[in-house]
Amino acid sequence: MQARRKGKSYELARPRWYVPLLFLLPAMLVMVAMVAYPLYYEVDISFRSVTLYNLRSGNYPWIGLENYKSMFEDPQFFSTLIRTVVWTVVNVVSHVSLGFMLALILNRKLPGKAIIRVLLILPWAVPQYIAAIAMRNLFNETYGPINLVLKALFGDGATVMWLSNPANAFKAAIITNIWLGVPFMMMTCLGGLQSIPQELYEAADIDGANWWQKVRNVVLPLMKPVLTPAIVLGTIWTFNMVNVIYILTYGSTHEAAQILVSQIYKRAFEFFRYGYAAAMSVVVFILLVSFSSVFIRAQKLED
Amino acid sequence: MVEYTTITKGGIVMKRILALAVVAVVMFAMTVNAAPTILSFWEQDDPSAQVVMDVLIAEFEKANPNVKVERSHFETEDLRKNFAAAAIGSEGPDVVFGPNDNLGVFVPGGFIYSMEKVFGKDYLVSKFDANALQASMYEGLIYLLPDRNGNELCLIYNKKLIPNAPKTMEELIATTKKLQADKKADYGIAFNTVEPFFTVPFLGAFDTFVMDNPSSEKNAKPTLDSPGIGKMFAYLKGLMDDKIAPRGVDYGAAEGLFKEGKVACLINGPWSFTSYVDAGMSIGITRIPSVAGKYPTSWTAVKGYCISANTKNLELAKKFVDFMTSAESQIKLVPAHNQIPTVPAAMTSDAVTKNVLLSSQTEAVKYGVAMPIVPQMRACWDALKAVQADVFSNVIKPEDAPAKAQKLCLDALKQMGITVK
Repeated sequence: MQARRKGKSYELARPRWYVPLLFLLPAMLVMVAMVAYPLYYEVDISFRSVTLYNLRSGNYPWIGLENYKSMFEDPQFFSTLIRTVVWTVVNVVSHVSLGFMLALILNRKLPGKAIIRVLLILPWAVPQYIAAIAMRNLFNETYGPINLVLKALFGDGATVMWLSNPANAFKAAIITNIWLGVPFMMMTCLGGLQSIPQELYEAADIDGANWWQKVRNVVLPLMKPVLTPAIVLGTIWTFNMVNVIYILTYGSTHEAAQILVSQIYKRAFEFFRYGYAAAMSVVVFILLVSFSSVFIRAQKLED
Repeated sequence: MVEYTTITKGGIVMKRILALAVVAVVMFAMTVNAAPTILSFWEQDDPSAQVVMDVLIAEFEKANPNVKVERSHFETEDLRKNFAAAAIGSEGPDVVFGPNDNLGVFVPGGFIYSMEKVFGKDYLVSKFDANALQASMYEGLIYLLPDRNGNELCLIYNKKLIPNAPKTMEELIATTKKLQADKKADYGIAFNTVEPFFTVPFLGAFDTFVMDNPSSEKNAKPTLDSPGIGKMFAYLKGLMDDKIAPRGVDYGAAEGLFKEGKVACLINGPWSFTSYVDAGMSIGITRIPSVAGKYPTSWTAVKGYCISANTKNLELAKKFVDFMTSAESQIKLVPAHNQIPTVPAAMTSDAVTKNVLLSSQTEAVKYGVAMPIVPQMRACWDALKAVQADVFSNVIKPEDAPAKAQKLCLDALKQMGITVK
């Protein structure tokens, strides 16, 4: 009996090669259905002609690199790519620097800190769609509060045609997206700051470090594990931010105020060029994967 | 004894299980039998009309027990995009309601049935007004059951500020200057400066249109490079420069200014009339005033019902759209949308003849032009929207607008995969 029991436990304890796979299976199935298959499908139709005329038939002729060729031959693609890079860099740099600065302020003893924190988080709590529409009203050329203030301060000539001029519309979209994105970065940084042990600040004080030296030599190195994923995520989100641009520019009125994703949206859902839009999406995907891996690797090397 | 008891208990248990199984089967069969047939219906209509639609749907459901119509509302662009996306997966609604320019996407995409195949041409010709049917065609076939004809833009004026309808723009400009001097209004006329739909009627005053062969998908050719386009933009920009019209206002802002009494007149369509009356305004409606003796021409369109090519309930969908476009249904809908119905019995009903908001549109509709519904129009809208914004914000000169508009239009057509002959 004893021997049988021992034998049984030996049987149970013996590792079976498929057991870990069984544990992973549900997650793998979800990943295949939600990530791998859509990605494969997107890459596949980027090599096919999918337009309004053959959309329903399901017969999408293979055209090789034709979609990619016409995309790279389009000068608008490159100007939009440069604009997208400007959009992403300005937004992410602003999000991180302003968010970090506000987090440093909130990490100190401050009267009414709870209320200030709530007020600073507010833009994050407002749905993006509503926030963008509200900002569009603020930027209205005739009756928008921003122009009314400019007019009151500097006279009639100081008003700006925010939304009808493509360059200004792009600036207005950047301002809106900075306003929307700072709270996330601020909260992320605040979480990171609060996890730094007080003893390290005290040790720096004993060493005679000033405020800037403490930020540079204590805070920033310890914030890296928090900031690296936040910056990578922030970059991907900003690069792919279609809502703000689309709403603020009334459905991407101007090509000169668009970023790649809003252009993809227009090509796919207004011009019904799904194959072409898929090719553009593949390029965006490659760009973002390359950036993320290079950035994360650079951070690891620095460590 | 023990054995007997055991057998009896076992028998009871078996009987209970059998009884439960029979009940379950019967209930399942009843459930299956009672499950209503769902008819999915997507519409793009105004809130007031949606309320009446719900009443009509309830009537249809009462007359057709075991049928449930599920109505979903979409804005114009969303309806188009979502219907196209759903059609790829052979899904989506059974019936779609919206403007006839949807046909420019739905027919080339093969997303809808031809109504001639569903109902037969004779039935449609005998039921509907000929003009409305004409606007429901695409490449010679009827694809839409028209519900209302109009959708045209008119001039709506605030009677408190302008008691009589202005006949000419010159008259309106003079009145505006007087109102401004008396500090009674900020501007004379407002229109949505973002969407070209609100400015294209002025093309008529400059003898210009946007394309040649607008009713032929194969032969439609954009003509945005005509000088009239530049003249129209120059005229409208002049109105803004002279502070007759506000600059940079979208649909909501223009309407807001009118409702607040800051603007004497507004260019808008019949779908909006009821809201001004409900807001307690005393309004008049007229044709858009002439510019130097020539009248702007409003673009007219019909709205109606299409049946999805993916429907699995064709007979029911047919019954539903026939019911929704009946004279009785149209008469009930007229006060909600204030447009001309499409069935003769409804067109001559009191709901139409005694409706002041409707009769004041007669001229605008009479002299209107049909809005092109071919896919090329999408590229024209896109180009006009961008160029209009450029001119109004002084990025380009009005005289440079035609060439830029034509280039943008051709670029967009190339993006759409359409070759222009």
